[in-house]
Amino acid sequence: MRWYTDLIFGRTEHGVEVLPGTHKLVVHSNWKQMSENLGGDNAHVPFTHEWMSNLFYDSRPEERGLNFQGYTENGHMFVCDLFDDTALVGPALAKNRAKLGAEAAKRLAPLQASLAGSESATGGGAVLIGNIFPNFGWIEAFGWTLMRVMHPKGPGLTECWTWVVVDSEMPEEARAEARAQIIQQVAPPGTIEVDDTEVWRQAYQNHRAPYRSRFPLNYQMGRGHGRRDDDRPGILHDAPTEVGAFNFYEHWGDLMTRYGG
Amino acid sequence: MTVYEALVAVRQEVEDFFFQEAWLLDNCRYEEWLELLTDDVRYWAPVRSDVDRGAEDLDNPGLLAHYEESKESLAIRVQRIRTGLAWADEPPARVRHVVSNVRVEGETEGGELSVTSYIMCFKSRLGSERWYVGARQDKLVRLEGGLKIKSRCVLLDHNAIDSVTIIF
Repeated sequence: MRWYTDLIFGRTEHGVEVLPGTHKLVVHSNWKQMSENLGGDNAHVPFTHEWMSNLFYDSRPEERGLNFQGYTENGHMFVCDLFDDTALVGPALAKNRAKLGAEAAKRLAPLQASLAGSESATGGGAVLIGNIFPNFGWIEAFGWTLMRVMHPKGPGLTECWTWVVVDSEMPEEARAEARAQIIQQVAPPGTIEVDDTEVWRQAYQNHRAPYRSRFPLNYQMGRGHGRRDDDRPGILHDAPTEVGAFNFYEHWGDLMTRYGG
Repeated sequence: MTVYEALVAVRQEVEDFFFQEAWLLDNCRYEEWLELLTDDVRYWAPVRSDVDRGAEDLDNPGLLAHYEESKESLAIRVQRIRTGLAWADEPPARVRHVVSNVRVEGETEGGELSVTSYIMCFKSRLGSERWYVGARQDKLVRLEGGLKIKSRCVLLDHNAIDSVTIIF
């Protein structure tokens, strides 16, 4: 999994730091739902965040590069989605991402460097998402980065703590952009985060309904698929896929039942 | 008019402004609410934390916040609701802003008012009911159309907070 954490936490010599302050979000759902979301929930984007496509773009960009997801046997998940997102990146963050790309090229494998930064301030960049089993994850998108922990607070209740991660030598202007964009989009009242928390809450409620339990859910599509490649670790699948989420739940189920639980 | 009467008159003017603002927000008249803001408004709500007495650094401009908004980003929030596809606001919540404890702290020669107020917001939606409590620190200016909000810092009294789309 280090190959994937290095894309964010190991791409420069000086490493990362977090901005002061913590977002503490109360989510009325099971902690696994939030964690699973960090393993590549392709299907939810055009529906859960439908208002964005209505307001900002007609469809997702057509020019896409490397776009794969995967998992490790011990439950970790990762998402790497490289595409031309220049219209969505702040100018200071775009410049910073080019710097990160140059630094990463010195320290990491070429494939990693292409995901960890861009070749120029006008190049596209990757959406990098991951979850270390069970409940520590990160999201990098449009030049900003966050990491979070999903604390179980009891049945149907999770408290998610989120920090803004920046490169230790990131210029002030880029820090301010990262801070403002993360607040506007993924703070507890963030325009994107409120979509997700609403769906998690309602999905959790519906799953507890007696009527629902009369019908089995289908967990077939894509389960057990995946391949190995020589140039990167993990069991991989091109997007869209849910192989990571399947393995996440299977590993959790295995741990819960291993000792006769 | 005595000095006291003059102070009361200013406070009443500010209270009337806040009551009108709350009425607009609670009745989903968000576009009209946007007109109460100056074009260069800063609207933010720093995160709170349980730390040693005196150690909370709310003036740190880099401190993470629940809101960090310009007029443009607030307008996007309004447009988001108007798409009809923002699921956290469909169906809409019933929201009630209760504004109280209004204190006009001072007025500069240019007519800029420093005002603090307390706020309690009740939200009822899809079987859940919640209260949000906090204080607001506003800078208000007098423009041709009346008072406008030049800056607002919302100090929520909550540490952890659930998904909320209320403008405080």
